[in-house]
Amino acid sequence: MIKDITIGQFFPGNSVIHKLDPRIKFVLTFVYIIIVFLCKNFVSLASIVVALIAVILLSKISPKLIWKSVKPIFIIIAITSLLQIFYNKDGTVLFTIGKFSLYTGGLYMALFTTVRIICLVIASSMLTYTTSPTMLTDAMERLFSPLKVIKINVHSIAMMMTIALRFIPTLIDEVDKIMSAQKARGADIESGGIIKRGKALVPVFIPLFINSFRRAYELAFAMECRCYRGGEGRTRLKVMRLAGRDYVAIAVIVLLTAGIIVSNKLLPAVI
Amino acid sequence: MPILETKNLSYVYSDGTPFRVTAIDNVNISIEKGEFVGIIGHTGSGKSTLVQHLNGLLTPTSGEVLLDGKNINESKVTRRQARFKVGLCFQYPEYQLFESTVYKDISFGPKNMGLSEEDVDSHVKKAAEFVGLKPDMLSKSPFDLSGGEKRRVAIAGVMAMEPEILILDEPSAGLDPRGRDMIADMISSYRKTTGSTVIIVSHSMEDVAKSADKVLVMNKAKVEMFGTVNEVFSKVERLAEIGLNVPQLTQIFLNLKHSGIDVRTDIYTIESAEAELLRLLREEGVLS
Amino acid sequence: MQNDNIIEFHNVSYRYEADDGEEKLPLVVNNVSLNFKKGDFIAILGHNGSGKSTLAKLSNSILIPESGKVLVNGMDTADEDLSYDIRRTVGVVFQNPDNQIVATIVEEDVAFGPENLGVPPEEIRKRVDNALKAVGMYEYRGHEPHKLSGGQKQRVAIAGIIAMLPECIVLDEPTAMLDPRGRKEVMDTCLKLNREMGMTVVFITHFMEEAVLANRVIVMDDAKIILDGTPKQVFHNSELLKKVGLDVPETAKLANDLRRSGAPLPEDILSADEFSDEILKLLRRK
Repeated sequence: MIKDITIGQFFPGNSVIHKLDPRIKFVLTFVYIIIVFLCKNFVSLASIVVALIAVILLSKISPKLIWKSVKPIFIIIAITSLLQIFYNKDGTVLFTIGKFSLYTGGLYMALFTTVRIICLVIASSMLTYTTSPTMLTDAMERLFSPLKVIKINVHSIAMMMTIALRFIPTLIDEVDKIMSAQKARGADIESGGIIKRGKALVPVFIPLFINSFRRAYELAFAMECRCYRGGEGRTRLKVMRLAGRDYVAIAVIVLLTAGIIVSNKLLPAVI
Repeated sequence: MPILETKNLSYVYSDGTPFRVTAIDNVNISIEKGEFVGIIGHTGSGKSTLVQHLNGLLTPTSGEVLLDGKNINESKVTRRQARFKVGLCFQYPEYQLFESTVYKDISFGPKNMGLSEEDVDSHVKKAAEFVGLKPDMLSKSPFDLSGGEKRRVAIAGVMAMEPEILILDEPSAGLDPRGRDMIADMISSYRKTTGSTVIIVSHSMEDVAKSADKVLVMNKAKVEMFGTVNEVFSKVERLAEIGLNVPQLTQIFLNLKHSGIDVRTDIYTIESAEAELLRLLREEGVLS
Repeated sequence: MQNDNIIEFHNVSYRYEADDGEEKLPLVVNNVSLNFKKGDFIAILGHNGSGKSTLAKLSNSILIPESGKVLVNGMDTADEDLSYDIRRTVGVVFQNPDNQIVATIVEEDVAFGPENLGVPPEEIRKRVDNALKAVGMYEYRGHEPHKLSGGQKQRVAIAGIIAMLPECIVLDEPTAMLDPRGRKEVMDTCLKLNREMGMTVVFITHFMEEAVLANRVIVMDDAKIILDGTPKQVFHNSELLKKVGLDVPETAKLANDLRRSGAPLPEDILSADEFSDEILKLLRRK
């Protein structure tokens, strides 16, 4: 069950999107998320959707995985859309059933929110789907390295993130194993109220913590044996150098942003 | 009637996704009361998945597990009962210890069974005796013990439920020869005293050949062989084909037989090997 | 001065500190003197707690002796300024492969050591590829470590060490947690490193079958070295080995027993094939 989560997973591939410089991908995703919220008319909304679909197609990530990434947030989308439809009383009345009237403002707002949230989730999933976690932390390390000036050890933070990512699957396996073992001794983990269940998890979490400390201790030894002494003087296997495709990607997002800003000036806002 | 039986037992992981894996495929075995069964096979051959069905931890995709002739997956209640009748001790069980004292940790199973306090106490003490823990160790923290001692505490935690069938998944993994012998002794003393059925998953052909009555060989999710130790180890070629070895001692006699010498090949212990070789050497006049 | 020892232990003693810091724990390594010759394949045997694993950690300045000296290529492990050079000379692989893999992709993990050494990127790429090829894991370079088998993970860990181009690799019970197939993979890899690449290998284990393949076997018991010699010399002492909680290979035991009953078998039989050949020889001689 815990194993079915896809958010934050990486699906190796050879597409243009996979090959983009992770720093660029990181920044572009960030910019994309901002412009999603700048859309105020149908033309711009359509253009960000088209842009995202183009990225999905280029990445060759299966639509099933995309579907999986948005599935968990449907409840949130449904609730916000319903709230808009019921309480937003801008614009003109489309129709009335009994006490309830549907306004165009509510309908548009619901539509825009839905599209925005979906685009936002898919865009960030695309980032993690197509970028290995190590590349991603690497990118962040490099992007935020100027923070050294204000005494933030960016390298250590990035290292911690890498190790956390590395051990998440290992710990998930371990939780499964310990749970089965305690169930084999009659532990009743699945039934009862919250308090009872919480208590039932003590035999799972205590060994998990103790084992994690043991792992951390051994990992520290192993890292020392491999001459780890922090970020100072380290080189990297993968050099990040911007290629033609990265400049193309930058150009695309700049044009998209400019287009949306211009369209906001020219076209009437629908929300 | 066999104490434990599986009928067309199959289990599929992640069914309905592209990651679908058949872990066990149409397994039919039957185990009599009091038998000692060794399960061998490669990692990923389905051994662990199989044993997790025998106490109801996993629910089969299709097929049945019969305990005393009754399907254990009939209801939640029967499945829970199966956990106590069939004690399952996982690999590296010492990593599952969690209580503040050895005594409390061993009593976790018996308490979950809903036994009275006196019964829990007697179960714990009996189990501690089986694994050779001295009474003064019961009040220690399990985390202060050595690796081998932790392993014994963890096994005692399963024995304390006094299951009719005791299953151990590689009980001596990672231990040195002394630790391995100790575990083997513990299991045989438990079996002798309680008369229970024992199932061991093992990578060591030597251990299985020495202690088990019957051997179950799993290969690629299927039962490859299931029979007495002699029946199974006589099929050396097939075992070698699926990448398993026969015990070294047995191999000597199989080699001799292969070279046309008339020797027994059902040899699994040093004593029987010595007797058979002395007989051969005397008969051939090498020794007087 | 030409020195053909890669590691030298001079009267080395070590003990761990008790948690409360008050009482002294017993020595785990007691006045051990030992030389590891360049190019050797050395197996160290001993039961759990005999002190053999501590030797591994003493050999690359992860632990510093309480008394005595450990020299790696003449460098004293007690000198903190040298620890970096010592660790790139002697690499250590530990028991649990899960707890020594740092990165989420195989090749990125193998690159970890060279990256720490400040090796230029093109050179890292070469070293990573060579190391992965040497352990037979090149096709898995893009995989996630947690999806590999135990033997494969351990081979990745070995690749991570050899990518630092050490002269010597010390493996602390690398096979203890593996299944027979994984054990064979790791053992074969180590033999290859030694025989084809000339690397000094120190292999700590409690599996006799593995020690048989070394060219020198050292047996530890109770913090001391009790036997040191070729496998055949060492396994000849079956009683002593049994007394210290180790097992000789069953074939060697059987040969010893038969010799006692008068069978003229040679003293150095270790494998089943050797054994049956010797019996056939005896029968033919008649």
